[in-house]
Amino acid sequence: MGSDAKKTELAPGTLEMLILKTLERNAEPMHGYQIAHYIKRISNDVLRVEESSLYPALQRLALKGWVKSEWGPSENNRRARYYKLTPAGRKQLKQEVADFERVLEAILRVVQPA
Amino acid sequence: MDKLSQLWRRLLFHLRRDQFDRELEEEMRFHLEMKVEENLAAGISPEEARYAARRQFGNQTLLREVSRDMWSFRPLETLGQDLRYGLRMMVKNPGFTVVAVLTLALGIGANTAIFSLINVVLLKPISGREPERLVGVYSRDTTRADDYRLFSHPNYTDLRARSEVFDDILAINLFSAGVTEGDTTRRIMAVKITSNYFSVFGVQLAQGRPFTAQEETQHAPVAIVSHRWWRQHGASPDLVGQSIRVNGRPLTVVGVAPEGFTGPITFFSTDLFLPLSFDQLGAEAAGNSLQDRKRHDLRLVGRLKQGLTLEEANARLKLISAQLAEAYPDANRDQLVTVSQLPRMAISSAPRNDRAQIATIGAITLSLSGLVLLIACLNLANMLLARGAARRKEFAVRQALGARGGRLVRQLLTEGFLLAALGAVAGVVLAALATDWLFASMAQSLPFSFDFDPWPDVRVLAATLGFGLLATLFFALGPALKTVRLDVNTELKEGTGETVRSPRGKLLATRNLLVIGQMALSLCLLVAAGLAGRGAIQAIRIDPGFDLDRSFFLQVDGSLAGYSETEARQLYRRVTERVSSLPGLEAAGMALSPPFADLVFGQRVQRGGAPFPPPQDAATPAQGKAIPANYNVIGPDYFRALGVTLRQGREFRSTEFTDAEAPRVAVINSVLAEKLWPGETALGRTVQLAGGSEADDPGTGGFAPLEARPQQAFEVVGVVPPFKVDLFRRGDHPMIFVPFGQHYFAEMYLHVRALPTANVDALIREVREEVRRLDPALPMLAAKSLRFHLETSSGVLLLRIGALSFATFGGVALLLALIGVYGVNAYMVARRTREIGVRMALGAGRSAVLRLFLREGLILTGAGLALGMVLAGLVAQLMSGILFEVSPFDPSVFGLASALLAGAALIACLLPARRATKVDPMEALRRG
Repeated sequence: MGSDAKKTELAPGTLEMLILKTLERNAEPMHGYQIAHYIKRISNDVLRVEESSLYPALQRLALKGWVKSEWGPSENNRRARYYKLTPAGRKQLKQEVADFERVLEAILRVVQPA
Repeated sequence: MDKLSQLWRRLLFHLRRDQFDRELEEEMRFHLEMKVEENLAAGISPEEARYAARRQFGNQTLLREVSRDMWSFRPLETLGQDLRYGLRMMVKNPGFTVVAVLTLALGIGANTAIFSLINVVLLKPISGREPERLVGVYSRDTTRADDYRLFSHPNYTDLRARSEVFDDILAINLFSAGVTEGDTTRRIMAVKITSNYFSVFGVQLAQGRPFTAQEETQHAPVAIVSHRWWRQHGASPDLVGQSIRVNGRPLTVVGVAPEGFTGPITFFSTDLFLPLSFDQLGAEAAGNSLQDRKRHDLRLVGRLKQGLTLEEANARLKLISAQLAEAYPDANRDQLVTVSQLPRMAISSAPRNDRAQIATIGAITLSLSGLVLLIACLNLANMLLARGAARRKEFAVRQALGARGGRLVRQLLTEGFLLAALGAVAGVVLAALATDWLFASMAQSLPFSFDFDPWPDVRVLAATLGFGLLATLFFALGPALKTVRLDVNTELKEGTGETVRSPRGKLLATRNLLVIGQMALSLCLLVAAGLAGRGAIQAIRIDPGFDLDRSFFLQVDGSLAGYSETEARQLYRRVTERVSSLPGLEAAGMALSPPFADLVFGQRVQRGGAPFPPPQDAATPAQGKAIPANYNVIGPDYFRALGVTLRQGREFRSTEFTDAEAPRVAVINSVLAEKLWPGETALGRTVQLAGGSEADDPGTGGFAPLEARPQQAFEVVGVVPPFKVDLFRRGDHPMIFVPFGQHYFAEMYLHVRALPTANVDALIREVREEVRRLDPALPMLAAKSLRFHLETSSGVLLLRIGALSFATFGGVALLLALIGVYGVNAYMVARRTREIGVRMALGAGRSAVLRLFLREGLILTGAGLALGMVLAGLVAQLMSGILFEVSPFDPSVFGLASALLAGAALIACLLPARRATKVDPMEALRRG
């Protein structure tokens, strides 16, 4: 399995939130490669999304009804699967971001020097 | 989150699986190509770019699997896979499958059959709405211990008028009726009921209407029949309105009871319902009995008010009883009305809880049938072990390819469960056929019919499923664990997948232990079968103390043809005289109950002679204790007709036969004489009848209420030796006989004893003819020799059925043990072919080889028998309560059972051992 030593592992569940957030920011539907690329670019190459976790994560989101997918032509005129946030996904994202910020804030408070 | 829509998406996934896979594939391909392009753009060579992309992407198959897992119902899919695989395995080995399924069918079927009996007699609720609110109502004499009586109609009406305890309350009176169809009269159990009978149970008639309140109290020629009766009479849609003849009287059918309705008891029922006002003795006495406060012949069933507990009901009834006692001191003094749970099977004047008793018998039987299942499981475990050995390689390969142990165990368990499920289906069918046959054969010799539906209900099906699952765990888990726990490397390296780890099968090897256990359990069941069978044989071989072979009886009942008491008395006397005058017979005499009857009457007997009449039930020391005795009403020559010789005194005279005003006399047996006047002569003394109490009724707890008659003194004019009239009681039960003149019963048995030279069958025909000549209308119900009567009596039937079921268990167990022993030995021989070859090549003769294998088989058999003897001893101990005149440790039974098992085991060893001697040494060595 092609694992890259330099890559930062994401905590489970975080990837889903990042995908949802990515889809929210981009008004247009995105395909898997775009999503992975986007996350990598925005995080300044810190967060690398492995394909072997990206697609299962997308399936999970689809299963839960948070994203919807549609086939469409890509930039280079090939068929690609485009993902789109659903209203339920939007709600879920809000919830997850709130939770995440709360936890992050708590962690920062612990880590910050007094 | 919306679970439902998620489920929906999952289902969609299952419907469009291929599409899903295709799309995922395409999506990943697209991703990969994008990656390649990106690498190319970064200036890497095309080949390198593609390789790097693929490497970065990782394991595509795994990715696909993970996605698919997420969408599918994983455990269900595995189960489906296992089931498909299991089915394929079963089809591939039809021989194995058939033997395994049959083995399980017998094991599970035995348990299902027993459970379905337990279900009807113990678990199935009685008919009607909210049956838990239905209670038996009883009346107890508070001055005596455990002394209950039935209710008079006025008493019943009083209780029915009070609304503090019951929503409603019904009364019944069971009796046997004669139903005339064409020129034959059938005797059946019938029940007289109140008009609210069906509404108290909360059931609707299938057709017609219930009785009206007026029909309940004023004589009306109407009847309701059971659903079964309706079916047996052609299921005609217009039976209602037609006329039937009961006790010689035409009655109009006004209704048909609902299907499966059994009334207050659990699974058998009467077929004929008549209004309470019906008087079976004829119009002469009709109606009067209902007004009589001293005629206690009604049994009550009440529907408790909603939410009322038994304790609360009894507390309120105490108050009501006191008020009733005050209002009717004559009839109700010291009578306490109580309610308690309805018994399952008994119809009794005393509250009885027969559940514990039924449960005990059920538990014993179920544990015996459980043994059958256990043996079947041991057998199957052995077969699976052997097959597991054959499949070692398959499992080694699968494990090497990454299958986890748990997954393989689950696979094997699923295969086992498939076998068990098929076995259970076959078992349910077997059980239904067996119980159906059982009830059909019982119904032939009993005066009422069973309401038994042989097809299983939910409870029986659930129990069968339980048996199946239990069996699966028993027979499949062990072998599965053993099969899976293997060393992949050695297994794959071994060419044959079959290794001889120890050249000699150790006695304690699992396989051998299983066989030993099987043999031991089989011996238990054989011994149980032997003991039960011995009892059944014993029962028809008993020496009752009278002549079984030359005596026969003819059952007559004048009331069934509408005779009044006066007419019937005259008729019976003429019949006795005319029959006595026939050539070829020694004597003829009438009696109320024949020996081994289903219905036995009881009376308590005291010494007479105290102030007369004595104060209510206060036994003075001079009278002594009241002794429960078997009560019979007989005519002259009865004892001669039975072949019983009086020890002292005389038989009754013919004046005592017809004349109610003749001096009161009685004959007692020596047992009663010895109890009443120890060491003294009884002749010329007087006895008193203290009334019958069912609590100490001899015989069945059945339908034999003898109301306490006014206390009468009888002079003892004869003493007879004890003889046996009840199969399940020792012959030394006290008995008292009074002349027919003293106590009229419409239904009588004319006992006749043939001369040694006469042909009994011819004589039976002649006697029938003679009676028919005397009165063609008199219904003759049965004519049979006492031996035949004994052999077909319900007691013997019960023993036979018991013996038959035990014999079935034993037979099945024996068969299974045989298969087990044979299987293990055959397997051993197959496994050791090479060793045999070596031995023979080194000069061992065929007989030496035969001895080798026989010896091992016999050691197993010996160990099995030894263990079996111990277990069988325990089983016999357990059975001792239900055995009929057989010692639980009867040596002949134990000897025969062991010999049978040992003989069978010998044959099962001999066959494979013989095959061992046929091994060709060259061939065997070459193969190795």
